[in-house]
Amino acid sequence: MGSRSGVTKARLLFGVLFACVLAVAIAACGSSGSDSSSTASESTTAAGTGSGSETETSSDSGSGEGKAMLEGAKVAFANYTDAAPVYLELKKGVEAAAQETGVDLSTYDNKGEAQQTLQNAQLMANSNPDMIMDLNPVAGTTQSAENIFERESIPCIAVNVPGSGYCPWIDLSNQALGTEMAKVVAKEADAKGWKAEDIEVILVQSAGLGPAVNSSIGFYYEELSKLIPGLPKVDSFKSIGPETTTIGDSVVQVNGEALRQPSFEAVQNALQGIPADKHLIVYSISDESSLGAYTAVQRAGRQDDLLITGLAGSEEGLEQLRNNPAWVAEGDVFFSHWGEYLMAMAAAMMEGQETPDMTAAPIATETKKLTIKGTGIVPISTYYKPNSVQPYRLPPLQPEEEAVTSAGESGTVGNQYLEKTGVLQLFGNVTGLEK
Amino acid sequence: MSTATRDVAESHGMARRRDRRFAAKALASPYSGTTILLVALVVYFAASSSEFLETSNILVILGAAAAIGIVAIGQTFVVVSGGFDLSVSGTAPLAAVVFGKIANEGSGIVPALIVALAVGAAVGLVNGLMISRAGFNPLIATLGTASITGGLAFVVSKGLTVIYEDRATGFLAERSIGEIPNQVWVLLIVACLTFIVLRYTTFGRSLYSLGGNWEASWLAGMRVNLLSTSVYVICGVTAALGGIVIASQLLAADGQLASNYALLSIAAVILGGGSLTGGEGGVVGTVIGVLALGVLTNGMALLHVSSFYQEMATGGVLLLAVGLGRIRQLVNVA
Repeated sequence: MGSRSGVTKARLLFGVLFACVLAVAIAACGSSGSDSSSTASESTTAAGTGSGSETETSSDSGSGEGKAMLEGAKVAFANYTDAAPVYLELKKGVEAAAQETGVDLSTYDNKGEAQQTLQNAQLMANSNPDMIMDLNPVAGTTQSAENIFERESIPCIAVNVPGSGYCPWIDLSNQALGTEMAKVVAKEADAKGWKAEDIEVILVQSAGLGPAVNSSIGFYYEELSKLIPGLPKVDSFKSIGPETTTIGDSVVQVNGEALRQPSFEAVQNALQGIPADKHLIVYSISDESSLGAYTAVQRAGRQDDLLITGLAGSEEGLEQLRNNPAWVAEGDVFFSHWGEYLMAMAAAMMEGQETPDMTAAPIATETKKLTIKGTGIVPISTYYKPNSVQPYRLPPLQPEEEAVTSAGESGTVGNQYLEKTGVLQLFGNVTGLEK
Repeated sequence: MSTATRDVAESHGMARRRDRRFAAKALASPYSGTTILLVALVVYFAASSSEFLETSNILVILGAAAAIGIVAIGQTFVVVSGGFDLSVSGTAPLAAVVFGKIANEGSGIVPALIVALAVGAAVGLVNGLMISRAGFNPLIATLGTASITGGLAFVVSKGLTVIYEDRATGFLAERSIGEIPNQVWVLLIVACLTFIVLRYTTFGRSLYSLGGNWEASWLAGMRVNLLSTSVYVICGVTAALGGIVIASQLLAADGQLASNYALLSIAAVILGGGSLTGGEGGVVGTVIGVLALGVLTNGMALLHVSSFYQEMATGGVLLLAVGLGRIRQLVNVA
């Protein structure tokens, strides 16, 4: 007669052996795959040679020596998460750019978690690289990560989410994207004869990602309300915060968590409170979110009375822009090419160049055919060949000028200074810097 | 008093006693707290929002409840037997991704469905063997498989979203009988089958015995290891089915699907009268728990409650329902 509590040694041994075999099998499968970094770093070894580990600074800013300085330089890059397609594309672009510039790259996965981000920050600092590039997932964590880098005196770049200022910051301009997409939507709504009293606007935010990501919603709606008379006005883009759920009677904001399923569920529920005869305008902060929202509208049978935009320039987003009548604009952020700009920014910093408050990442507002001069609103064919999801050209560099950063503060925004490093010319795809 | 009057008084007294017994029996039900809560929520939201009781909204609630309901029904088997399964959060997206990939290759929806459900069964088998044969703690074992299966979902999809290229692949979310989505019918079928199994079969009754007292069940000659393993297999299959249902709604699958379903499914079972120590619970209570959570989410969305407060409210409701159930237990004991 035995008892459950008395686990025999044989059972225990079996369990341990089973777990070990399973772990080895999983590890074996994982090592044969590619692009599967977790907490461990993967080195992309430089193709070229060079002194590498010592950071050389030049008293002449913009000397063009930055390109040479990158050869063999040790760079650590922490991605927001390898689990989301758009961020996976970004990481692949960074790796490709590292190969092209001869950088010795190590990558880390922040997994969208604050604790992992801080752990990776320490790991990166411990590896003593020449440059750290950190894509922080959680608003507020950047300060803590920056403290680690500053303590170790390691130069760094804050990607997408700003810190306190130690790490120069590169980000897409939410103001430009938001206002431009509003212009496109307003034109399309006008062409359809839609009036404000017949319109319901659904804004799909990701409350946990903070203002650096969600501010595009505020810029979008502020502009839209100016262009469509009768829509409830807001004092400024900052009026729309994470706890905003309604604006007047014709605007609702829901939390889609930047993911497809939560966005689908949030919009599906929101639609129940919107009369069936209302025209729908949907805006969200990512393609995944827009796709979830669109599916919810489609399931409700209201896709023919909808204007929707995407933000990311993902493969699916571009396909929707090409083939879906309701999808009228795609805010393209060329994520897969940010690596080029990051390397150029690193080179500029190594040269001793002063960076603006926000280095502008490449963006464009792509439409099916519409062009609005003096803006970044252009047809998709400006940057993509038919049926291609890889841009053959990137937008021209922007001169630094006073603007509103994506954190909602006034400052200098631009990226023209990157030209002087000579790095972007290596890739030859930026308009005006072709080979 | 005349005989007739006395007879009437007696029958009224009997009716009152019968009503009191019925009320006592209803309140004695393990999911009485959640039922009261569900009714209260329905009444509140119906009074606060004119759209709440509209047919389209009810269908949205049922459709949203279907996926989590299917997963929670599988979880019911495990909780009744004295365990719990956290790996559903990894099994669901893995099955959804596998289903999509096979269907996209043109192999057919039925083979894709069979393979995806088999994946769920395999995960459940691994869980069951680890827990019943190797004596692993269910928390640790299923937490481990949750991470493994969740990671596998990303490996299989290469970190990308698997789009269901043919709309027919998402048949579970389509409406074939009236306006009711197919996933609701699937939920009903799964719930009915589970009800029959748990209430009327030796297997079902054995699970309650197992959860109530493992040692006594073993001493009574029950095949406790087989029972324990089988409930995890069932849970794995339902988790796979739930993942496919969600993906059918979205016509896409990725590794982040159903990331909160482990805790939600366990919460639904507990709301429905289940106990983490085992031996209690049932499909009726689980379905009521799922509906309560679905009504709460939908109602708060209709009332435009901020998502921050929605999370707090969901936690508060869970504590309230469990608290009502606990009061009931104390009253019964008294």
